[in-house]
Amino acid sequence: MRAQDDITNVEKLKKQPTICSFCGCGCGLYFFPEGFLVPAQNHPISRGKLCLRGWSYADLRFTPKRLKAPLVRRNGKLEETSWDETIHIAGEALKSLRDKYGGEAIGVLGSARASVEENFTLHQLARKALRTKNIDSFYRLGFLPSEKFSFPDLEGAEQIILLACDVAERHAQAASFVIGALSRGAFLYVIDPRLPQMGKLASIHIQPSPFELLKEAEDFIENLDVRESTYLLYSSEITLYGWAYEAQRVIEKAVTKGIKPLFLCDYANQKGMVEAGIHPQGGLSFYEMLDEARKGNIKALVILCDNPPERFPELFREAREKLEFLLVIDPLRSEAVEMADVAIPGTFFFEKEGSVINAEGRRQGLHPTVPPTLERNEIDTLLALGAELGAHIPYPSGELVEMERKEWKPEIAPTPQNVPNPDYPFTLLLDPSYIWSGTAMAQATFIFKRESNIILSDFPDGFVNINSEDAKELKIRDRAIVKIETPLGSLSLPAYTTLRAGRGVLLFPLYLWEKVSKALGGVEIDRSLGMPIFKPLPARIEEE
Amino acid sequence: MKQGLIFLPTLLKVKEIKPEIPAVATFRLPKPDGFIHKAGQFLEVSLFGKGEVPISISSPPSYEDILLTIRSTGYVTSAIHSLKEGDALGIRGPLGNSFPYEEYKGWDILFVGGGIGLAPLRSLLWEMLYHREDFGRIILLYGARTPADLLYPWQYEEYEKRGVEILLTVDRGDEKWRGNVGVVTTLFEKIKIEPERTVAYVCGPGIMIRFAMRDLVEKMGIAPSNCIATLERHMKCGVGKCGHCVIAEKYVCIDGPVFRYPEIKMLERYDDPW
Amino acid sequence: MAILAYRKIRKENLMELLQKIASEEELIAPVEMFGGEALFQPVKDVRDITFNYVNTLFPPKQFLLPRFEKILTYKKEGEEFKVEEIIEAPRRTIFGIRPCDVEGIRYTEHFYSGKMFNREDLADPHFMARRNNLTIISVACLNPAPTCFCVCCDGGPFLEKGFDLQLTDLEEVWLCEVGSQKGMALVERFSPLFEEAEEKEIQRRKKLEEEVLERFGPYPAFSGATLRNITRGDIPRQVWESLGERCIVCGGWQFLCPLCFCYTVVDIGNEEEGYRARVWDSCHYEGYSRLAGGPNPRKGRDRRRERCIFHKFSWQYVERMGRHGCVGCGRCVITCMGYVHMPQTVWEIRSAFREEKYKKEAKVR
Repeated sequence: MRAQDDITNVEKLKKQPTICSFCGCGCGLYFFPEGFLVPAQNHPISRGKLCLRGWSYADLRFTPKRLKAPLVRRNGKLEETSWDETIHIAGEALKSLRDKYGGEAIGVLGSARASVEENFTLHQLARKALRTKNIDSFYRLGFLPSEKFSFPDLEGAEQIILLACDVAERHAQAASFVIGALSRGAFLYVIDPRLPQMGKLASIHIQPSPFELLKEAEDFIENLDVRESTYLLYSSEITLYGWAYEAQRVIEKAVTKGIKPLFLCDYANQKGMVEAGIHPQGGLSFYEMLDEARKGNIKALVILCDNPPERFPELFREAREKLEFLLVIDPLRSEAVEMADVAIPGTFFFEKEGSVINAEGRRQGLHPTVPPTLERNEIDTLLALGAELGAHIPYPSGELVEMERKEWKPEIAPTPQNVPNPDYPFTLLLDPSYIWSGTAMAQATFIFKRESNIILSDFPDGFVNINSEDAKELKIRDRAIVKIETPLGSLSLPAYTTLRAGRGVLLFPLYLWEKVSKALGGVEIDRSLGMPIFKPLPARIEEE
Repeated sequence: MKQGLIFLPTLLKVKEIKPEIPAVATFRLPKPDGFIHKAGQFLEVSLFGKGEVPISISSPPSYEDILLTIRSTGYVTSAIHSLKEGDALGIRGPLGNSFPYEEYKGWDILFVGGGIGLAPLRSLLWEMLYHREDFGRIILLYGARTPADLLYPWQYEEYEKRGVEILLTVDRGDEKWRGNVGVVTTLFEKIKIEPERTVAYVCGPGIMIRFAMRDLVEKMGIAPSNCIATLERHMKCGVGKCGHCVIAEKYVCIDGPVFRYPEIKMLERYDDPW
Repeated sequence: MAILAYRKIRKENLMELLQKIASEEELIAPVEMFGGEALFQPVKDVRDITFNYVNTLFPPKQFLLPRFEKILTYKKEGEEFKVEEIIEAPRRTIFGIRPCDVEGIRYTEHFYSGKMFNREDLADPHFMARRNNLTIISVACLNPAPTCFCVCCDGGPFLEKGFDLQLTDLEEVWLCEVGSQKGMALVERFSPLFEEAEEKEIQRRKKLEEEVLERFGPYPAFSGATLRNITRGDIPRQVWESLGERCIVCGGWQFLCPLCFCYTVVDIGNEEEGYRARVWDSCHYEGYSRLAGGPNPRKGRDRRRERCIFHKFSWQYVERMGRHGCVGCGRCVITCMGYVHMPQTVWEIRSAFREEKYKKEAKVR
């Protein structure tokens, strides 16, 4: 097998590129064991360019947050244990829980930080060994099914529509393609209630009220004089403005007009993960798993490369207290690892053999570029766990995975949310721009950690963005505590005045949604999308 | 500092930690062999596992120990605050230039301080008090946010005894406060000076330096080159390598932290020195 | 320093020389990657070296100032700390480095040796140890890439100083110019491999230099006017704002620029044991000049860009550093995500001064 030859010959390995594991763009880069990387110049997406996250990816090589050895909780403390013993302990624990409560009491969480093959193996483990249908991932958040496309096509675009997506902040490589097209004379239309960086470069920036975004977008597309190469970029953010079926109608409309839609995945292997079978298959979705665990109905969780506490700190803590067994497989020593019963180290993208699928649907190979530091990788661990549980799981060879890969379309059904709609002057909206702030991945880097923590250290308890002009009119000082009232409840937060929020819009960062939704009467999750049912809310604001 | 090894800290045991005002404490460290500093210089204080921060020395050169007044604002400084007496603290330095001292012997001295900015001035103030006969009038104008934020209140009596005219001000007073309320520049109207023989040393938050310097020159009539300030920047290395402290072409860690007003005015064309 | 001597070396002899160097010390040379790019890598077998490249995307500054470098270790032993400064400086030879990168190393050395401040007591021990152990065998450029503009920046395509040996491809042989005593020692040590160069070969190199100048691409020359405007600080705010709007804040320019050398310091480990390391940093990042507690003198992207260009192109720096801060390697042209790289920036500054609407603005300031 090629992988075997490669691992022994480090000199040769250097010549293989690997893929960045942050956002869904999927940039190619050369990674070196000395802890530095070079963007691949001939790679169709990176083209010698990387964003801040991409450059920081090299920091993971020497991160102090690395989980180096298997850990087993004994007398309340995590202790280093041998690989065989750890896997045996984990296998026994899962087996007894499965036999006692049945497979339905076990939840399995996959990850967009793991390769397609690993997710496939995890799926097999869940179905064949743990006999559970509760398979999902926090990284599925906001995943919408989409057609294949190609980023380099954007270079020849004549018209580009950015529909409610802040590409400069979240998909920098896509932003680079857009700016490249602009410099060649393309027209850029931005439809966004906020004022993202791209809004300033746009030929037309439509700032509709958040309630009317989808309708405005539909009208705009209807009336647009569509040229031969017109592209519509959108991301999971679109589902924050209305129901998924409404969003889908806008996209379908665009397609009938001859516009090519580009869906930007939020995470590196989000698409690959879903296609490898990590989505609810009649079982519980990720949020429901934690919720059921809190109620005591889920007894064990198996987490691969994920850190739910970064999104739902309190819910996860409550769930953890009721869980009888928590297994985490992760290269990072995250908060979830600190709470686990058994933690097994995993590998980063630059250490493993496998493949990932980016937003385009492009399947790209991963190659180990540094000498292995661990005895086993995730696939070995998962196969060994399967064996402990008495099930045969096939080795996830490239051919097998390709054969089993399935596109998945969630059933999108309207879920009515009855919100009284009084005539308040503002609209409260979730802003997913700071999606990486506080995540385990960001915390494991040096420079990116500093950059993403600026907002966290300035506003440790979150903030609400208000338009500077609005703030002036209402005499709200920057960083003053304000009280926001909505029909569902009220919350107090520091105000952060910027021009980022449009007139009449209040933005709240998505990474702290647990906090906001709690104040507003509890989180509800759209099962099919994994997005919170948090639609724009009418709001009032005043300084306390 | 060993010859050539400019990044190696010297480890010292903290002799005493004296809490000053909320979130500010003064750390007393023994002087290592051959340690000679000048007023206005700073140290890179390092705590292993946390990092390094630049801290100006608040003790005068003739004093027997090193005193560092540190405010807990960030990751490293808050960790330094959790130290106990006897714990080790690394220092590198003294680094940077210093306040002009010899040049102004026989002059009247005007100190303008704001908030924690009194700490670097204290070093020079005490050095002048040790050689009181060399200087004319010494005036200290000092402002803080609230009366509880006034730094070194226990020293004011000693200053007055040694012939320092002190004027205090706060942004927001409380029921006990009888003094001036307002920013430090409001004190300028209350003093009479001879501008041609007065030198002003200013230290505090950037915005305060900016307006104080402007008023000193425009309203008080002090020559711009006799207005001297220390600037604050995040110096990561302290030896002119890392580039974090640059203001236009000046490296605050080597060309500064002490600058005269004309220099700062020049930097303002290209960058924001405040 | 002028050229000390001229030699020539046959192509097969050069390979033999490099193989001998590789067996004694670390040889860094361009190697072809999987995707076809050439990158500088340690080479054991000279057959891996590629000659089919114009310039590598990454400058070899990585070998003098690594992206991630341990600078000291600490360990608590009983009550005391044991602290050691780690200086890692293997003997190295870089082969195939282009003149722009050689100029970059010279610039960086001027800064890290403390010469910029006339403070050689503050020389960086890590950088200087590696620099002193480094031999530079540069190769002059005969075919510039479309992104190259070194000819406008005193950065190539041929150099007069800064290298130990400079090779020029004269098809059948390589012409060697010896630029330093270190280079002279190398030539003398392996003297059987070298031959005296003839006058006609030296003339041929001069002719080649003139010919290369014709092959440069479309990127604009740096006129003195830009330098003058930046030095005076009278560039209209709108120019910086317009550049800032397109900046994605990736920092790639600073990482790839052979003349950029800022870093940040991180402690890795706990209070008892660990190490302190430095990591490359970029002045385009928001946290770069942010002070403890929140104030940031360069909060806007336009401010950060202005600062970066000022460092590269102001007379204040030219005076202290001996040259301006661009060698025209063209890497920023490739890596800039917002297409606001150095030539674009200069072009926009110049066109701003041609446009009437800004002229008034400039006068008001």
